[in-house]
Amino acid sequence: MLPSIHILNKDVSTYGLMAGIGAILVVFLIPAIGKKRGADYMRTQMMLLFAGLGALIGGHILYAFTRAKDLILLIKELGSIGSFKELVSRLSFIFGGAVFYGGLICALIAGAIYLAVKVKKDKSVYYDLGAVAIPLFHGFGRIGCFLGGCCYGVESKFGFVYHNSIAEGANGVSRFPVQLVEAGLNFALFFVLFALFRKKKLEGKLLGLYFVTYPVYRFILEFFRGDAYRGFVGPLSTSQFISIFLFALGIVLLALPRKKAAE
Amino acid sequence: MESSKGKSIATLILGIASIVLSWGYGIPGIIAGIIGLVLGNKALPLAEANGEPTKMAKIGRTLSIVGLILGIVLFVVYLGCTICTVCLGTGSEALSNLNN
Repeated sequence: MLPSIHILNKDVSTYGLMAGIGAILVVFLIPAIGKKRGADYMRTQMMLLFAGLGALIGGHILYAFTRAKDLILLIKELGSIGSFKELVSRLSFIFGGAVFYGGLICALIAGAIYLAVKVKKDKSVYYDLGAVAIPLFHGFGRIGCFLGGCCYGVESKFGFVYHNSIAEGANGVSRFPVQLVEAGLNFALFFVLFALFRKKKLEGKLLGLYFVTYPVYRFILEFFRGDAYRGFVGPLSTSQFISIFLFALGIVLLALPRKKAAE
Repeated sequence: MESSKGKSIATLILGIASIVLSWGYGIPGIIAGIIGLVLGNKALPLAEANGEPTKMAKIGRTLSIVGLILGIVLFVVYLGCTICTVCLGTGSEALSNLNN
């Protein structure tokens, strides 16, 4: 669709641009929302930045798991690699993509570690803010996916035809805009969670609510994905497989008493 | 009583530098952003405790965060890693698609 745009003598990936816009919006909007509920502005911001770093690392690591055979082969052939450029190219292939769930899990771990160290009192408001932040950022990311042409949908009469997608397999046929559908659902989920946060509903439970909602529509949307090389566990895609566990986690978080859920 | 003025000025300078360097070079912008953010985190509470103006520290800290995010986004693009998820058939293929 539009994999890159030219800004100030630089070709910028539209996915990166959308991810950057989403990140900046989250890092400034979410702390401002939280301030009204007593969350420290700087602490919230730093939690989100640490979570972002975790997301960046975790997303790529989980993607590498889907390329485990290539990683093992690279390690075996390490001695025979001809140049640094070849090594970077092979590493880009193995670590060069990212899986959302890998990013999400590591983001939560990184954010939790930051809160454990820096926030001694009740952390539930920060976890709720994290739950509000996730779908907001993710929505922008999915728009980036649409523009870049990755994570593309199945062939469909209703859709868009890519001609210069970064994923060669997407080009030439009309594809269901699964990325835009997910982006729309993510933004809708953001508004719901934001409204609940503002009205102090389900305090300390919004992360649980996120986990019982997002995995459901993600599981369904995976059937409309056309990029077969995203990784599978048996008949299920990697993300469908993880969705089951995260949904179960969401049930547990919602069922626990508020303080235990936050811990 | 320690003044926050020096830290606030440094935060502002580093914040501006992080955006400029991130756009131009990636990693130096990330480093400037991290240092600006750390200094800003020290300057802001100090200024508030001293009753000093906080505007410079706030702006510098904000710019540092923007520069840091910009630097990370552009650096990852440079590595050919970004471009969304799970879609790189091969790193070189995706890069050549991007360059075309």
